[in-house]
Amino acid sequence: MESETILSIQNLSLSYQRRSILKDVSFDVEAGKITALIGPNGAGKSTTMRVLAGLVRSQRGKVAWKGIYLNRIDDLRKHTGYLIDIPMFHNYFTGLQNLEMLASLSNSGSEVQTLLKEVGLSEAQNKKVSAYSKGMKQRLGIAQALMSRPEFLILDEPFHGLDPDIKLNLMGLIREYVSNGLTVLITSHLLSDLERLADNYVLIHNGEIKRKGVVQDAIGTGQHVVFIFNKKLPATLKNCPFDIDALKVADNSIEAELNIEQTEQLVNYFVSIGHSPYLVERENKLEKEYLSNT
Amino acid sequence: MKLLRIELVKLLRRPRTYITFGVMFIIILLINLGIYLEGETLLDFIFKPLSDQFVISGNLVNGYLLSHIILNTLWIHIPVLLSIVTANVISGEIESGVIRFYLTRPIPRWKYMINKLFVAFVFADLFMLFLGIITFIPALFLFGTGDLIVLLEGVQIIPENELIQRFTWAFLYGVLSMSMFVSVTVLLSTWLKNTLAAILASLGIFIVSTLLQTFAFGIFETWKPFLFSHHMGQWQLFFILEIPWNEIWVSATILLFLTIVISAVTIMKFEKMQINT
Repeated sequence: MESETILSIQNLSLSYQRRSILKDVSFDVEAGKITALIGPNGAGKSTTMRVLAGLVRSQRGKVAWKGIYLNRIDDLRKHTGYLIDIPMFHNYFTGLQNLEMLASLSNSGSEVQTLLKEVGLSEAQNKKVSAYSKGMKQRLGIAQALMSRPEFLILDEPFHGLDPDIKLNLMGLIREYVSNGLTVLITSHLLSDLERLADNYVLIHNGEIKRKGVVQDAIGTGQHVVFIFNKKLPATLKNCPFDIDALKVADNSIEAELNIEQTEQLVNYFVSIGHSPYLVERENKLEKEYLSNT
Repeated sequence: MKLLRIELVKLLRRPRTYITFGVMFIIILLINLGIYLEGETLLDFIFKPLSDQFVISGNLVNGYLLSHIILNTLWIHIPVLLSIVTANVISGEIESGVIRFYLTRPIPRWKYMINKLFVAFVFADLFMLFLGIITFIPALFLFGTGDLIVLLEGVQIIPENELIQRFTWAFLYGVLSMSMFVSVTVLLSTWLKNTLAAILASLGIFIVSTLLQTFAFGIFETWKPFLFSHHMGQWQLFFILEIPWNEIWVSATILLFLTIVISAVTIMKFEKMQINT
């Protein structure tokens, strides 16, 4: 089924000190999907996000929300939650107080406790933000972005500085919101994360859109995965969930073309037979796409 | 109103707000103490030029004289302390990145800036009120009341019964002056996006204007009306026996006009500003 376009960005252009930062940037964001904006440092990812947040004023370009052109890009803020860069709060207020202040501006005060619970900060809500770790601030940033339950979320490097478990937790949370109808535009330097999270991608380089597409199409049906073991594998792999002939088996390694679920299935199988792999390397196809276009 | 409440809460929770009040309190305490201990010496110093021509009797070192001395002494200190807080209102949030949270809410930028300006003016007013309280109460308590002798355009002897009213006017005029100065610091805070630079620049402008005013004699007298520090200093005129109301109204109007224009420029500048932090 064809997805509806919730946001259409057309010919966004910005120059600063005679340098072109964004050159006719145009792309669409599909409703209920996660779109990843990828590109190297200085490509224009964050600037595009900032223009959409109304923090940076573009010289040219239009934005349409659900097919209707907005008079000012600032009007997008009525429908959008933002997490731009590393979130900074008032250090002399608690996490709860910071959120309550922001919530009072959008009449969403009753949601604050729920949001803090959702991002796992209930217990730390009465601590001053100055005592928060980087990850806690990031989670508080996510909570403020979700305030007043926006239809659209803009996340600029949301996983910056997060521990793997917190990151996975946050990714799950984003997925959950998306399954409930939220649309997300996200940037991250961690392409492997975006590969797991995003539905679509837009590749930007030197302020120009180089490529757009569906993440699954870039990845294909499977990725090249290498399992490395610290002991010799048994001669026969009994009850292996996959066709042994499709796997390239060596003494202490196995190579195969697998998707994420299949990779997890195979890891579980090896654990069950007492041969836990000590290294699993997956080829990152989104990264390959990125490298070949930048 | 919600945004205004948030800004007021932020102002009241910031440590630097209390640091400025604390510093002012200590300065005035020291002046009071100094005059209490060395009052006679000070009196001799101030009225030495008059002692040859006048026979001075009665309680000259009184609370009113002390209050007048304090206001004259602190003419530079007040803007310094005000700038510490007000130069931080925008640049502080830009430097820390907190501003992003406010500007990504569905609030127009002009509304955000009007609230910031309003809070800066409220701070200036509170500061002046605090200054008035800590100047008068201890001074009147320690040194009592009496007529005020001021050396301004000759010798002015203001009767005691007029002094409360004259000081009130002078303070209200001071509020207007400091509001104008605060509008300059907020503009510079917005323009420079750096608190320290904004403090130094606003004080630099104030000091240069004051210096030019000091040197404004002879043919240079003509530049005086263009110096905002000249208009800021017109509170002194309330301590001339026959108050020159016309001169005061002109200066007050200029200060008000400057405050409005500078605030409007600040809002316009902020509307177009690129927030890159």
